Amino acid sequence: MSNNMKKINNILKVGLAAVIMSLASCQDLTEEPIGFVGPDNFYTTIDQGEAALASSMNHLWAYWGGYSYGHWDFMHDDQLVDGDLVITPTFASSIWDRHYRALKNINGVIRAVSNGSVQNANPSDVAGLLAQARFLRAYNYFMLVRLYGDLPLITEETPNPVTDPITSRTPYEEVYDLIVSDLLYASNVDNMPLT
Amino acid sequence: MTKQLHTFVKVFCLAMAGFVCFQASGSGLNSYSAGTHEVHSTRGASVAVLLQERVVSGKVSDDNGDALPGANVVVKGTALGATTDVNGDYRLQLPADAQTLVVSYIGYNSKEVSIGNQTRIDISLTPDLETLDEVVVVGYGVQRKSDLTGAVTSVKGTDLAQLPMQRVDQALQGRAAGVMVLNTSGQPGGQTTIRIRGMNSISGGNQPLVVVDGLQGVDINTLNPNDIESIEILKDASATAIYGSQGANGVILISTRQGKKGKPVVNYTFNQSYQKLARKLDLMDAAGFVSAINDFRATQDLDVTPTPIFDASEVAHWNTHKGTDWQEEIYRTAPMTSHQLSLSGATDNVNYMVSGGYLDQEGILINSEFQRFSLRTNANVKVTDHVSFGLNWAGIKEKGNSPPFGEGVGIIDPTGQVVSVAVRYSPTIPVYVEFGNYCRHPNIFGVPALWNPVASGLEPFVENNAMINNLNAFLEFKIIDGLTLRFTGGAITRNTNNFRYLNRNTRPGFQQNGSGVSTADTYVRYQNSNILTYTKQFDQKHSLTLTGVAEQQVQLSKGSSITGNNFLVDQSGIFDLGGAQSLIATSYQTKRAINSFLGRVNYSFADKYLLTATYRADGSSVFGANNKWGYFPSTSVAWRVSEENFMKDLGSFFTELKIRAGWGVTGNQAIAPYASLAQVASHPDYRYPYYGLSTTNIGFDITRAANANLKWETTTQTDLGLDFAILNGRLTGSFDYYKKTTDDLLLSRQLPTYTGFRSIVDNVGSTENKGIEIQLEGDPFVGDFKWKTGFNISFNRSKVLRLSNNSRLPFRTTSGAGYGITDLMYLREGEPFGQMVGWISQGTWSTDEADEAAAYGQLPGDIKYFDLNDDGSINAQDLTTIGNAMPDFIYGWNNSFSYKNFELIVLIQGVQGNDLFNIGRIRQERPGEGMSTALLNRWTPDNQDTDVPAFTKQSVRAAAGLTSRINVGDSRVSRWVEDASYLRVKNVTLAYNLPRALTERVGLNRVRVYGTGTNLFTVTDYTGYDPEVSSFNNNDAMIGIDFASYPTSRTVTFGLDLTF
Repeated sequence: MSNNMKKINNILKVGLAAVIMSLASCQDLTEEPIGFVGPDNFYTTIDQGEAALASSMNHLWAYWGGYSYGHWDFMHDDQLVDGDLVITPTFASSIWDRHYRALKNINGVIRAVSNGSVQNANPSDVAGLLAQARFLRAYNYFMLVRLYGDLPLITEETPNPVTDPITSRTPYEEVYDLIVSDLLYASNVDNMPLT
Repeated sequence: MTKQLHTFVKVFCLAMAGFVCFQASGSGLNSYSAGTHEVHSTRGASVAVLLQERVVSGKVSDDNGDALPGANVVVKGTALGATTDVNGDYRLQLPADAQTLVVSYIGYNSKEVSIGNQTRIDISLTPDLETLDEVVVVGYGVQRKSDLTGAVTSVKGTDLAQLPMQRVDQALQGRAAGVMVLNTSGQPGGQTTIRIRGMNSISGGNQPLVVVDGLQGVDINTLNPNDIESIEILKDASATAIYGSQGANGVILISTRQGKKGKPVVNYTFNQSYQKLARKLDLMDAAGFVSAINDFRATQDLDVTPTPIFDASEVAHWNTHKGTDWQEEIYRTAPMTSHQLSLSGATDNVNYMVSGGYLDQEGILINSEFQRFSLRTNANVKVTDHVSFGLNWAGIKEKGNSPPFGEGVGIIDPTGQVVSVAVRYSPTIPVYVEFGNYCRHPNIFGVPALWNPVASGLEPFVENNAMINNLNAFLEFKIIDGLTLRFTGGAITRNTNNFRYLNRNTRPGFQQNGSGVSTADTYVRYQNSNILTYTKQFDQKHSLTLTGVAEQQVQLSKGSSITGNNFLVDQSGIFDLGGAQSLIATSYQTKRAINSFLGRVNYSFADKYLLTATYRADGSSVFGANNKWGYFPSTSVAWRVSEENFMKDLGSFFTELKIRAGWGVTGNQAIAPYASLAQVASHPDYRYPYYGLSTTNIGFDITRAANANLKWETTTQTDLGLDFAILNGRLTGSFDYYKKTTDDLLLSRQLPTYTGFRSIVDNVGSTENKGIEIQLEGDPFVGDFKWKTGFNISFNRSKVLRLSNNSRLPFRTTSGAGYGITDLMYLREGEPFGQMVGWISQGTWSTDEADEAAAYGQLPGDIKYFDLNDDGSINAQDLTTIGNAMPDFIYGWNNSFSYKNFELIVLIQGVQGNDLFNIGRIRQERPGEGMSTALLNRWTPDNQDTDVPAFTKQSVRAAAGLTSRINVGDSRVSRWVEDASYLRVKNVTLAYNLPRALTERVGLNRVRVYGTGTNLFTVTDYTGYDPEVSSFNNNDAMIGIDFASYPTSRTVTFGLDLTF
């Protein structure tokens, strides 16, 4: 073998090594939920949608929160218990908190189901699920708007409030507009669930 | 992003390749022309041995005349050889045609000696000043120690081999500056906390990365200590940044033993140990306890005349009977046996090491045991001059059990614990009553719910099984001169299968009608690293090493757990879950994938100026979608002042003087898989209606918001160091100063509640650690009597710079029933880790202070609290820092003395300036139930200088008519905070090497017998079982609490070490 041949041989080897190095197959770094579900792959059946609505209703009751105890601040207006009129930042926050936790789940259902997440189901069942969800949303906002007035109004079309914080409250008139349209949708006979 | 990186790596590799080719052609070197190596045949030689007996012996020493044990003496051109013994002596049978001996020893110039007719050849070796230092392992390669630019501490396997040890973490304690090893419990097979240069992370874990022969993520406690050749601890960022997002907590590199050229070596080691509780708590005997209970009873005299709990005849009985010593009942002298067998050797093309180990340990706590079988095979084969491969495999089987101990969680509440209840259970209670039933606590005094500790210890059935395989293989090509490509593949598999059954004789079993849990978990970690290394020296002065690596890792976890309660049949217990009337099952699966590309440049000019630069890109599946890739650069420089001419002119005072400076960025992949993804989950609590009462309307809630920005925790570290060797290397040392800032710490960040979430995990916190480390090693005596000594000390100061929404975060928010601890430990911005918060108690009020005491509504003999804000009452406003769990400094001092055939090894180790909160004392010293002898020192008018309050009669208190202004809500009082500084004689070993002449008669190369004492004694003011303890380890913010941990033992070991 001539010197040149050897040189070429070396270059080939080095090149090969470089190629092998860079071709080292890579792991896919996109994370898919395994062993649990996320909002992107949930709500695929009527039952799953109803399970989300069930937890939304539970929040309104939830022990030490919701209406089981959380309405206490409204009832005594700080006059009955402490009576010192020191209103802490968390005063009367529990009802607010619980309604929005309920709305988070309801909007999740509406967003997914409107985008066709439920497949292979009777269209009237799907419409019924949506009707339930919109009724519950109307109910939650109706309770909130009467207690707090203007509200951060979050619907299925609102950008994710975790990443895009809401900077101002929506006037209560618009909240009522949503309540009315949700209730009208829910009361439409064609959308009503059969049971 | 991935694409760009790919391109970057391709360009990098091709550029490197181009550079290599240029060098190869430019210098006209031809790697193949060096093909004149000889192939030696050993067969002819061994035949010759049979034919002709010819023996040569002698001594190998250094230029001072000191023996060099472990030097290799080989007959040139053969594999025949011998290793020198502890006195430097060798003895070798020669083939007829033997002409030359080759003598070699690490760090010395090899020497060839012609044999001629001599039968005794003494050989003296001169130190190889160029390679005075050994080669040390660094990330993805090796380096000469003198070329290091980072902060790296080495622990040699030979130092470890002298001590009988069952766990590698023990080997590190007290040996390396900057490394804190905390034996958090004495449980056989238990876990250890290792911290390198303090703690960076609050919630992400601070355990260093352990890399064994290149395989990352090995559990250090699964290693057989006898298999270890060396341990390198990478401390500063310039050394650890090559591990990128896994390097922030420091890296421990472990190399396992490889066969060495020469005769095959068979080694057998046997250890027999006896362990005993290192210290018993000082408790009252039955007589003392009975009188304390009656004395306290006498104080309950408000409107009634109290009747004593123990009547006169019982008092008389207990005055002559000792009663039950519950500590004696639950602790025992426990034997431990270990056998180790290894075979190693090498020929020109193959080296191998096979080892097996067996450990059988009983724990000092009844019903606790641990067994480990370990096997290892390391083999390397040189196929041709250009191709080699190797395979390391270690298989470990572990089996352990221990009754539950500690605080008590879930169904195993604090009253059913063995360790904490044993020091609270009355000596007047016998262990058993009639028919062999356990005696229960009477209702008339103390805490009747306490469960018989012997029952809590003996009755639980626990079996924890683990099968672990650590496997890695490599294939290496020497492509051209100086250029090596190494493919490695490795896997760690761990299968655990744990069973526990608590029968009706245990408290939880009694309450639940039998309670069992069975878990099965599988963990697999794959790693593939492809390493391209190019080394080149040019123009004599420039030395360059380039390393490029492409790596991928995958970790998979799966498992399930079944809890059963209400068993009809106790006998079959957990192995017949069908007999349980209530079952709860859970299961899970997670995956983590990492892709990495990294490169390193090592450059040295004239061996004086050294530069290291590294760069790593890590992509991880657990990072949020917007932050999939993290980048971790580092650079460091060193100046070997001793190589300068002006230093050489000063004479040979400095053998080595090196100044180092480094900077780098590392990360901590503290994120649990899927933490960046939103989650929808079910829970019984989400059911409608009413919190789980419904079994039909299952609720699914969006429990976690997605965080696409979630990323690693980032640590930036700067290190300044100095290494020196003086007096011909007889005194060496290192000083290091470092400063680390960790940002992007994962903490929970509050969200506006209109989002429907309360909080989200985000990169918000920040901490700082800085410190000084000093490590010195020396040989004060050489010659017949030798003394080698090493001392290290390290100081670390931590500071929390930023937390999330709150400027302080409480930890240890609750503690088991009746101990009354809430929010004891705090992290607060501007303050160090380990702050304890509570009320300061300043002893007791004396009779002279009666007026002052009365102002607080207290009587003399009551606890005197410190009124921080001086407002005349003690309440939440008076909470302040009452202790800190972080030491001022930690230190270790190793000594090895030898004289002729005797060796004495003494390892002393200690911690200074840290506090422990001793929770157990809260109940042990409580009037009316406690058994601590401290109660004998309680306040009386004649004994006023004490911090133990008086037993004050209720009638006296009522007569005083005072209104208490003490509103101390719980037990967070400085009275329970103790100085936990200690100095410990960790290990003393006395060994005797049998004379060679004697051992050779039975065909043995070396026989060493030894005795060892571990934890022989401890100097400390701490009153608990042991000052080296930490009961809550899931978060470093909680280090510094002692509560019912498995106590440490004192161990005596006899051992025998045979080498064939």
